[in-house]
Amino acid sequence: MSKTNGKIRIGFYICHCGTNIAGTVDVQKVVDYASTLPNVVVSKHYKYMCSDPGQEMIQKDIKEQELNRVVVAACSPFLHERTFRNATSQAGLNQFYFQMVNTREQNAWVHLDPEASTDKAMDLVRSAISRVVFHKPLEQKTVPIKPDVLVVGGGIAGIHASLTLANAGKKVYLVERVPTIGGHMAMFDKTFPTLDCAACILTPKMSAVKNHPNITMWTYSEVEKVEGYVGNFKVKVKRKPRYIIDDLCVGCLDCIEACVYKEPRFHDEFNQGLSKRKPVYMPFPQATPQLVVIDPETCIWFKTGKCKQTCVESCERKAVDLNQQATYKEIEVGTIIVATGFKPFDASKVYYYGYGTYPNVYTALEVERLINASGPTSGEVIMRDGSTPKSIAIVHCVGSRDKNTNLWCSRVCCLYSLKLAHLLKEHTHADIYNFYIDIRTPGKLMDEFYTRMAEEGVKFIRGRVADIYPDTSDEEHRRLVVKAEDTLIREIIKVPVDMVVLSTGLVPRDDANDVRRLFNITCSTEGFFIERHPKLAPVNTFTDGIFLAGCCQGPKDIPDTVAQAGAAAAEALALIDLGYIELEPNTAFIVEEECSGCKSCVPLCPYSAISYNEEKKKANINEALCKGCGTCVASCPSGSIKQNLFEDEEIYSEIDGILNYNIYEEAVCC
Amino acid sequence: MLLAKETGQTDSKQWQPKIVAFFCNWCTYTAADLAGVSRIKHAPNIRVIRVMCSGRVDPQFILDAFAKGADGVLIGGCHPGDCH
Repeated sequence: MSKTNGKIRIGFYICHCGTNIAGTVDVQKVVDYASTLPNVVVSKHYKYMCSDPGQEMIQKDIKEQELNRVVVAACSPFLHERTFRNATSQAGLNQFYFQMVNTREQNAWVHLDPEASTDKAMDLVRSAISRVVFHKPLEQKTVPIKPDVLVVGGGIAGIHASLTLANAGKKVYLVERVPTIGGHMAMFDKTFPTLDCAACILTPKMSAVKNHPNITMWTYSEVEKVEGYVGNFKVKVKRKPRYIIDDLCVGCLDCIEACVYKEPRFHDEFNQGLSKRKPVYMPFPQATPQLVVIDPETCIWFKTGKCKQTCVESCERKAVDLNQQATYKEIEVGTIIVATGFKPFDASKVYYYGYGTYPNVYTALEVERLINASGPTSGEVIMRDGSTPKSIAIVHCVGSRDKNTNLWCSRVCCLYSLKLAHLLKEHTHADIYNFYIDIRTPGKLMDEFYTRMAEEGVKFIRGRVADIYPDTSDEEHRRLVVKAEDTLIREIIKVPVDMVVLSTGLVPRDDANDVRRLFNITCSTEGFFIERHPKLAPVNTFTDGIFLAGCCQGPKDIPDTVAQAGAAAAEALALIDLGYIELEPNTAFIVEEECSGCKSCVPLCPYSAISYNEEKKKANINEALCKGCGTCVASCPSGSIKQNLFEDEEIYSEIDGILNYNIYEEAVCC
Repeated sequence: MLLAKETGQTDSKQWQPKIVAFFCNWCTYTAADLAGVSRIKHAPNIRVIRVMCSGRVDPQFILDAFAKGADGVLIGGCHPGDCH
């Protein structure tokens, strides 16, 4: 005969998580306590509940003890709720007869007092045990996934993710804000530790993106609006006017030649302002697509309404269109990869390093352009004052590992500083001094690279630079003195140099917060987007179907960026190839017998999922549109709307569970 | 500690408030998880009930919690305009 006999039989399990939980929470006490609670027939603890033996223990008990409810106290439900639901369902029990108690993230990891922590665990365990009684068997619904993918950002991360997906036969929309793809990598000269040229490895991929039949590349465009959810996103993209007709322009550059500005005189973004451009320009020679762009901020026609429009006249193909307007594209995609990149730290914020004051103080990215063969000086290291440096100081950790600016290590600066040391030495034969706090060169072949640089005669001084000022003994006042404490010999040293290179860190882009809102993802206080789990879900976000790649998630080098982009593409592919997604059955429904037809819920629904059935005089919830927020449930005056998984009884029983145990029982009774 | 006297507690075990929290699934519950991952220590008085959205918090939940002995009720939702 069945043991259940219509009765609730709860199995309770608490996980030690090694010592993560058991180190703070007295698991034996919780188990002993849980066994005294109503309906609990099994109460156990185990080292790792999520492991195979842990899951098997639950399944065995479900079968042998005829459990019909399962409660596990372990980590956050965001991490292992799915694991335990699966284990429950594999033992033949509906997976929604399971409830999880967050005993790690929201308990053991944040409290110091074991007694208080154990009390809290017992309260929450009691709460879950009283709640799970009201659980109902539910079925998950599935919805199909749209196979197209949106990739936001055309740096190396976006490029690699797009190509991986396109090669797998998926249709990709690649949206890039600036007029060309390529991102920061296109600006670099060579890449560490192999010293292969960045352009040689990047430009073929840029061209592959442009020519790939499965990739729709929209440069000079921005995502304006994102609606929907995993599998079914509706995205609106703004294509900014380039004032050039894409299909007609062949990139002959005649219009640039013909511009009324005979000489270029505006800040060239690609060369970090080390050269000038005209209002009509090609971002850089290998720009992809090979289309010129007219900048309305500097073009005299847009500023004054008066110009001979020589650019328009010069174009034989009539590709210049000064009346062009922004256009909007609406697309439907199933998954989105956010690869919006980083911004170099603004070196002028560390005012005592004199960036922007002393012309021969450069940022690392400026030096990348300066030593690049297609850069403003064709690869010759000619400084702003026209001279070539004989001695160079490279200052590490500018805007990194500094409580006055940013606390984080930007991870790539040590290595790119070593690379720049090598390249500057190669170009100028100058004496090079690296001022560092610590040299951090983890990764394959990286430390070997450091050793090589040291052998090449690059000098290393351990000490954060305190000040940079003009050398008064130098008659022309060109030289700069770099002052630091050499912490290895415990002496203040002053090194006169011709050039200073500031190894600026990587920081989030200024609009990271807007992007975060647009895609409904989260970012840390610094502004880097947060992955779903730092180890086990490094490219997922908390929003299903949206993935991260590259430096928008945190500073990283090119190999790691490419690996992450590949991972993001694989995660998107996994969803697409499955073809459907299972929805959490937490939707709301109307109990028609009780609905008075007052319509108060109708305007409250943020998703317009509620309509009014005139015939029945009742409200009606469209299950496909309902996102399960429960706002209508809370507002219904007659209590005739219910939400699966969050029914009133379930929440009231949680409140009861938490409160009917007095944690100071002893104190109260005496 | 007036309340401690009222509940007959001695000074050695000071009165501690019991706070029932309703956290939304998206911003606040994940923020509490993030506090855990970052090991940001905080007082152990809070007992979190997860709801999908702070919109689900029926005013009766709050009254019920107070009626059953909660000393405080905390409702955590997303930043206005960040609706999930």
